[in-house]
Amino acid sequence: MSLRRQPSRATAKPSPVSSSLFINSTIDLFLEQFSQFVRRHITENKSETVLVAGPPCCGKTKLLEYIFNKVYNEDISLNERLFIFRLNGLIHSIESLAIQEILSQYNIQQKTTNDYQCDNLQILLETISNEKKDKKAFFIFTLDHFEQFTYQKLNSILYTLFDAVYLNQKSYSILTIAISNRSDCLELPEKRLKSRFSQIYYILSSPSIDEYTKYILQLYKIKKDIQIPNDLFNSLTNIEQKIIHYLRDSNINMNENTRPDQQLDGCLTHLELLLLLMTNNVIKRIDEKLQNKINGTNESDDDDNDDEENKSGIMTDTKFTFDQIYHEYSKYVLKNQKYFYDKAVVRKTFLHLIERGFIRRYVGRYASVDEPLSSEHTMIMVINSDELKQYVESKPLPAEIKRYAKLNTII
Amino acid sequence: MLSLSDSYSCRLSICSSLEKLFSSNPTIPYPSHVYIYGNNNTGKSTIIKYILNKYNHTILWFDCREIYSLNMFYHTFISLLSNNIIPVMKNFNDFIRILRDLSIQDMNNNNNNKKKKTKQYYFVVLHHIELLLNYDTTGHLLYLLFKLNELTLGYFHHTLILIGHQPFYQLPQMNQIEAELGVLTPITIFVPAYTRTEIVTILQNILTQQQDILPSSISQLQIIIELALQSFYIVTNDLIELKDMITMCIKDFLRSNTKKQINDDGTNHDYRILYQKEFFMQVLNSVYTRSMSIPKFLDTHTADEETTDKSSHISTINNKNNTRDLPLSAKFLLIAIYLATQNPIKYDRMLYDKQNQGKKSRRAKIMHKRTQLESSKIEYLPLSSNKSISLNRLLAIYCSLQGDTIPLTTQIYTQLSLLTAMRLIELVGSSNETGIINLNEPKYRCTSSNDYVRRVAASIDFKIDNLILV
Repeated sequence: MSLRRQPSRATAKPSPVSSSLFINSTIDLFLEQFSQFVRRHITENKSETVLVAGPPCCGKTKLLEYIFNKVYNEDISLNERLFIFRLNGLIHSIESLAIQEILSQYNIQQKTTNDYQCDNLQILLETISNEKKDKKAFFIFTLDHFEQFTYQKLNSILYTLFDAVYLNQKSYSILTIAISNRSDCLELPEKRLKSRFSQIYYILSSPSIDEYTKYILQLYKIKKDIQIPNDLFNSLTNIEQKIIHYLRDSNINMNENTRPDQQLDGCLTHLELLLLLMTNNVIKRIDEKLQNKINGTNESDDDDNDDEENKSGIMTDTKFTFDQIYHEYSKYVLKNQKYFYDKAVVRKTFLHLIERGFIRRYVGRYASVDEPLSSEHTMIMVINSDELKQYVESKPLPAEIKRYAKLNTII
Repeated sequence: MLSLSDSYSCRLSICSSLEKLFSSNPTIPYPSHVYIYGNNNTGKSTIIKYILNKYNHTILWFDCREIYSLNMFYHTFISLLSNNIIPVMKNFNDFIRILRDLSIQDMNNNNNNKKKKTKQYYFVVLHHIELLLNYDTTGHLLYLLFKLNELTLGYFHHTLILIGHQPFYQLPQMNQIEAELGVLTPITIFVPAYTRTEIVTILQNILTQQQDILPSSISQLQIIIELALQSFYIVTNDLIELKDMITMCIKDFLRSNTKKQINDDGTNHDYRILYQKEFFMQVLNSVYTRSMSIPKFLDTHTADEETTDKSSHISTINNKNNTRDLPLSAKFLLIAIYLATQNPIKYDRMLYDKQNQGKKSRRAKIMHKRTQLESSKIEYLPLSSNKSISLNRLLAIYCSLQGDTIPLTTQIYTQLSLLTAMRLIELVGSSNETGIINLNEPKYRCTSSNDYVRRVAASIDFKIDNLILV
């Protein structure tokens, strides 16, 4: 974990660590410093903004909740004056929605059913703080997915919260904690907001898998030793879920690929497999034709798209239509006199492949998703061709399918 | 206690894995997100329902095929939790607030009620999750559903179970979620499609229970199931589709059985079973593709011969083959191969070329008669010498006979295989040293009698003599 512009150290002693939170030396340092930061907001009555960034599911929100609980427990009198509001950029980025959420959370915290009709966040905050009469109110706002707030221009929530830093409000102070997966999210707000943001930020990183695994096993009082393989997509949540899965069902394979490719085994009929092989064939032919055009061995084409690809030299995802696949299917049937079915049967089989994600349709912006498959709809193949090749070679399939795959050795 | 039917005996291993996941455990919590996926009608929802009910869990079940908008989803969700009047929810934010309020209310009620001290835990099951995600315009719905516990400030305790068809990372808008918000990794369980053996066992169980079948007919039932699967299983492994189609075939079989009271002397049985293959293909092309309903199909199609006075007379002459039951294209094919066998290749153009048919057929006859008078040498091989005809020539003659209005489609190969199965024609080909037939150059030989072919032509008013040179 790296710390930029460390806040001033307070002299408060660290409180005993709760066992419900994973703590290592780095996290302990963060907890200590951030707790002091929050206490300073309360004791010095100072509005502040801070960013907490880190990869997804590394424990940002959980650590902050731990700190807030600690602050509450240390001074019970704060319960009436300290208000913590948790907003999420995915659903509360519009002011009216944010106000509804703040009101709801306020009622939960205070166990009231007040219904303030406020159109403006500032008015709402003043209304709440005025309720406390002589006592000053401390507001802490956590803005999860902070970048979603910044995508809106002239976001009034951010302006209200950030302006509080410069407004010398006597009745309340606001600590705004921006939480984001992006470490560059400070570059996202407008200039006026950027200038109002204090350059205090904490960047967290996930603890090591082994450390966290031991902690979880300790938490559930398990004496086993489990090894979680290092996976690109491992997060703390994922590790915990894997351990829970293993503890409940010890027969699972811990080394299982978290992002398996398409399941071919136990899925495809012979006709579907044949259509996939034919699709591969068609794609290869289209690619070869395109490659020849780029290399200039074929006559030039007036198509603009080809010209663009010639310039860039990069092959795009090859698109095909159902008609092309059916044409390939007809040629196969004429030659081999096998697997001959009506076009409607072939079309329905193709739709099943699309439904199961082997082939993806390009759906236009205003086109209905349920639009029936037509000859003109373009598609791309999603399946891994190496997997398909290995499957065809390894499984006991009819000889004609294997023969087709071998003859057209494109996979 | 509920029990799974015998049809799910092949799913025992998946059942036991899911049971371990969702069984009560005082120390280990339930998994927070589970994704179960596989082909249609593989038993996913039945198994999960059974297991959750077995442990008396509180289930919130949503079939996304019955949900037509996100607002409807929110409304249905809340209505399952509360019997009170549900306030209007316009967006996800409203939904979260109301859900949270209900959960707090529930918790307070539990606290007041001294008997219930455990927190209410829900199992939220979203069946056909892809359909719900299609209504999501923002692309964040799946992520927000995963964060439901956090958004409700920890008041709504639940396990989210998603059931779909595709691998999890291929769900709609997954790319956007992974790029912007983070990778979601639920526990994934794949349910494979039924194997053919499993389908046979399941169908036998289901159909023997459903149909009123005599024990003597059960063996025939099994034969029909096996035969039907030979045709259907190549195209689909969907249990319900197969069950519907095979049930229909059995209905047809039973209907004709009671109608005719066949004495199964063996020959007729073989023929019916072979001919049923054509029936199965018709089932695939109409019922499977939904171009015809099952009752309508049964009214208009049957796998059995139509027995009339005429056909019974004909059947005494050739009891294997009934000319009236052959499809029209099959009859034309038979006539074409007969003509190809009778006439030399060099006269094909004169005989079958459409533009000159009127004049040159007569001319060809006259020429042949002249040559016949001039020399006694016969240039062609008679039918009895079993001359084999190449497929290309056969198809060319067939196209000429059918005319331009009827295009040549892949259905012709169905007819060829039907005629081959009925032993009216025979597939031959030049074999290599190992005796394997070269399928690139198929050849056919007519094994039907002269009289039979003429009878076939007469049945469709085709003047076959106009095209025979002898």
